[in-house]
Amino acid sequence: MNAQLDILDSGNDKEPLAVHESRDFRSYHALLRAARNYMEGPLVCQLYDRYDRAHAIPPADWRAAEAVLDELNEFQFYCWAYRNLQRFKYHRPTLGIFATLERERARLEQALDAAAAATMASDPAALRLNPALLLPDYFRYVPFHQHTGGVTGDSLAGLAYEIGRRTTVPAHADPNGIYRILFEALPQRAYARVLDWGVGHGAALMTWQQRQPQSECYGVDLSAPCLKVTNLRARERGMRFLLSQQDLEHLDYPDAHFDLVFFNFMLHELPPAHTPALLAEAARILKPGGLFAGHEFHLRPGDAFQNVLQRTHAWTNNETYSTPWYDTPIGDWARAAGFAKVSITPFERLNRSVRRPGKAPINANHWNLYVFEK
Amino acid sequence: MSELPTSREVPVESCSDARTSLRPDPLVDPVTGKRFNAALQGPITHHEPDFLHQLPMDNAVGAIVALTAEVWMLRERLAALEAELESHKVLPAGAVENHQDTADVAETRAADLAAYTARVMSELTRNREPVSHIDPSVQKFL
Repeated sequence: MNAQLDILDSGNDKEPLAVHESRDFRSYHALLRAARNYMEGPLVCQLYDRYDRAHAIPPADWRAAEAVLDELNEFQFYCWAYRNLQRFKYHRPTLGIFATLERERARLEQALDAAAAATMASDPAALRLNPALLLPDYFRYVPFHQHTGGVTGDSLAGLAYEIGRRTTVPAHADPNGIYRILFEALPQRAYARVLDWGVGHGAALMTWQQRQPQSECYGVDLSAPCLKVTNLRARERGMRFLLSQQDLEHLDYPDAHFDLVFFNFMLHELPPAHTPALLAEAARILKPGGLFAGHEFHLRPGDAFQNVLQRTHAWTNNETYSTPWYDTPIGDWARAAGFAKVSITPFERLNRSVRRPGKAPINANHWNLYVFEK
Repeated sequence: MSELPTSREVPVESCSDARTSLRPDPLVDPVTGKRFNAALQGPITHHEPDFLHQLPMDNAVGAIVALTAEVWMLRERLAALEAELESHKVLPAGAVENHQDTADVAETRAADLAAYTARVMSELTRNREPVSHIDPSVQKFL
C-alpha cells in the first residue's frame, strides 16, 4: 500500500456509506435487470430471426437494414425497452434510484460533505474541488444515460451514478469486471503515476489501485458530486487518490506527468468538435512512452444489423454524441495530437455475442480497445 | 411513502418553450421527411416517441393474460401457505381472513396502497416531456 496513506490514518472511515435499499427496491431492480437481459438476449435472437426472414438479399448498409428492422414489432419493443427500462431505473416513484436517494438526502449529503471536508483539511492535494468551473456546453446539453440533471446537477448525482452502474450492463455479477478486463489488456508493467480520465464514481481507479498498489493514482472529472463519492469510497478503503475537478480539455497537470491515462467508455460522450483538443491535452500530460488507453463501443464493420442496434442507443439512451463518434477518425486525430503509436483493435473479451443452439451467434454489440502511445 | 416528484424532475416551467415552439418528431427523418415506426432519427429533445404505436393489441392482451396467470399462481401459493399454516396450528383458523390492522399499521398500509396505485396509474397519465431534458442546442455538435 502507498506509504502516503499514513496521513489518512485518522480519516479512514470504517463503516462504508450505504444507501438503504429496501426489499422492494432490490426486487424491483432485479426485475429490471432481468428485463435488460431478456432485451439483449432472447429478444435480440428473435429480432434477428425475423430480420433474417424479412429480406431476400442482405441489406446493403445500415440504412437499408434500419428500414427492414423498423417494420418489426421486436425492434419497436427493443427501442421501447432501451428507452424506458432506464427511465424505470432512475425515475419511477418510490422505487426509482432518485426517489430512493431523496428519502435519505440529509444523511447522505452530510456523509459526503464530511468526508470531503476531512480530506481537504488533512490533505488538500487529495481532493481539489472548483465550484467556479464552467462546464463545457456539450456536457451541459445532454443528461447522458437519461440521468436527469447529469452527474453534476445534484449533490447526490454521484451516488445515483454509483447505484445505476450495477444494472447498466446486464448480468454483471461483478460490475468491476469490466475494468479488470481493460487493465489486463494493457502492457503489463509498472505504472508509477496513473490518471483516470473521467473518474466518475471511482470504481475503476479503486480496481486499478488494488491491482497496482505502488501506483500514485489521480482522478479527474467535471463532476464534484462524483468526486465526493470517489473520495468517500477511497477513504473507506484506506486508499489515497489525488482527485480534482477540471475540464479534461484544460488540465492543470504539468507536461509529461503521467505514465498512463486510462478511460472507460468516454470517447462516445465527447463531440468531435472537442475531441482533437482533448487528445492533445491528454498527450501533453503523458511522459514520452506513456499510454492513453481505454475501451469504447463502436460499429462492427460490415454488420448492418449490429450497426442499427448500436446506433439506436445514441438516441434512446441519450448517448447523443455516439452517432458522430462512429464517424470520428480517431486514429488520425491521435497521431495529429502527438501520439507516436496508435493501436485500435476489436476487444473480443467484451464482445458478448448472443449464442443460439445450432446457429451462428449474433453480434449485438462491438467494442474496441484503444491504446495510444506518446 | 412520499410520492412527490423528486428535485430531479424537470420543472414544467422549464419546458414551456419546448411545448409552444417547434416540436420536432424524433421519428421523422429531417432530410427526407419519412416517418419511422421506432428508428429514431435524432436526439429526443421535446417529447417522448411512440415506439409501440404499431404493437398489435393481441400482443398487449397476451402480456396482460400472462401477467394475470402469474398473479394467479401467487394467489394460489398464498392460499396454500395459509392452509398449511392453519392445518399445522401455526395460525388459528381464519387468522388471515379475520386479521385487523392496528391504526398505525392501517395508516402505513393505506399509504403503501396509494403509492402502489400511483406507480401503476402514473404510467397511463405520464407526461410525454422527457424526464431527462436534452438542450436542443445540442444540434450544433451533431
